[in-house]
Amino acid sequence: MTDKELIEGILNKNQATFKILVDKYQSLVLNTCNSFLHNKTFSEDVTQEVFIEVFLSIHKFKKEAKLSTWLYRISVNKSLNFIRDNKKNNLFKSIENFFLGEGNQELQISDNEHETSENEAIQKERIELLHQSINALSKNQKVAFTLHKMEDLSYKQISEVMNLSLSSVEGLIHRAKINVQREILSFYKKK
Amino acid sequence: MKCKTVHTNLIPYFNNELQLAQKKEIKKHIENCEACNYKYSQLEITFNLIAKKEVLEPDPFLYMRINRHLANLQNEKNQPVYNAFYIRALQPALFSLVLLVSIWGSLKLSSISSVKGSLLKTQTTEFYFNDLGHEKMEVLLLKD
Repeated sequence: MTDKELIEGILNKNQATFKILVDKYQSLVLNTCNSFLHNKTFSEDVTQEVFIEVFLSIHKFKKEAKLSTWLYRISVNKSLNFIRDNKKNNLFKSIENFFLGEGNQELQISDNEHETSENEAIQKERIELLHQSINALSKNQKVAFTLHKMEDLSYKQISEVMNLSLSSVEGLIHRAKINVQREILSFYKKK
Repeated sequence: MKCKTVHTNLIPYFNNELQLAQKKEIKKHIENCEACNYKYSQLEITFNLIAKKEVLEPDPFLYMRINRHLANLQNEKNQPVYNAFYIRALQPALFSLVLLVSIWGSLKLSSISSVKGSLLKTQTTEFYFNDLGHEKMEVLLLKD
């Protein structure tokens, strides 16, 4: 079934067509969300939100555009919104923990970490550092860099998803790469 | 070459953006300096982890969950609109009405108690003199 037929089917409220679309693009949406969120459960929740949005606002979709580009755009926006909301929740949680004095949990986690092998811990630390460095980027740099490096999207595809010129995307990715490398290097300089 | 100079050129070196002569100098320094070697290798290993992306398996129950969520949304839409109206407008109106009635009731009660109080006062101050004992029996019989 082509994308055009899928869109027509969903516009006619055909549930079977919508199921085909979910099956066809689930992997793309799920992995794009995971590139931003780095968490399977969160990514699955956001993927669900993405497809609900698709079903509810399919009438807004411009038929001349590519369906995958539209899906990437919704996935990126939903993931960024999730990160924003999660930051607020984490702030409230940390305030709550401060007042409730829940320091024992952290001790338990650090005890468990000792059980894992040293190599695994180092690898975990590196991945964490990389994610932190990417999260520290500005919104546009983060989106362009993640879509290029993790989703293997071309500059042209990224420019379509972000509604930017090719040269802007190129500049964003270059600056993002330098900023991530600087962040990594500054971490090891402190050590 | 000093370590400080190497540090400032480490990122361009990593990205292969330096001229050949400078590149050779830095390479030589990194090979001989333990601290610079450590920083460079950590940068290389950590940055290259981007390529090792975790690929998630699709969730077989995703469509079911989406469908259930959409059905819930549809049910919420079908619920009568006045429910929301009740909550937003009528509830505070009802609350204010109850408040007004209770104020009015308390005022009324206080006014009644003040009237009752005055009656009791008159009852207590008024002296009913029983003069039956002073009248003679004969006089009583003569009255009718």
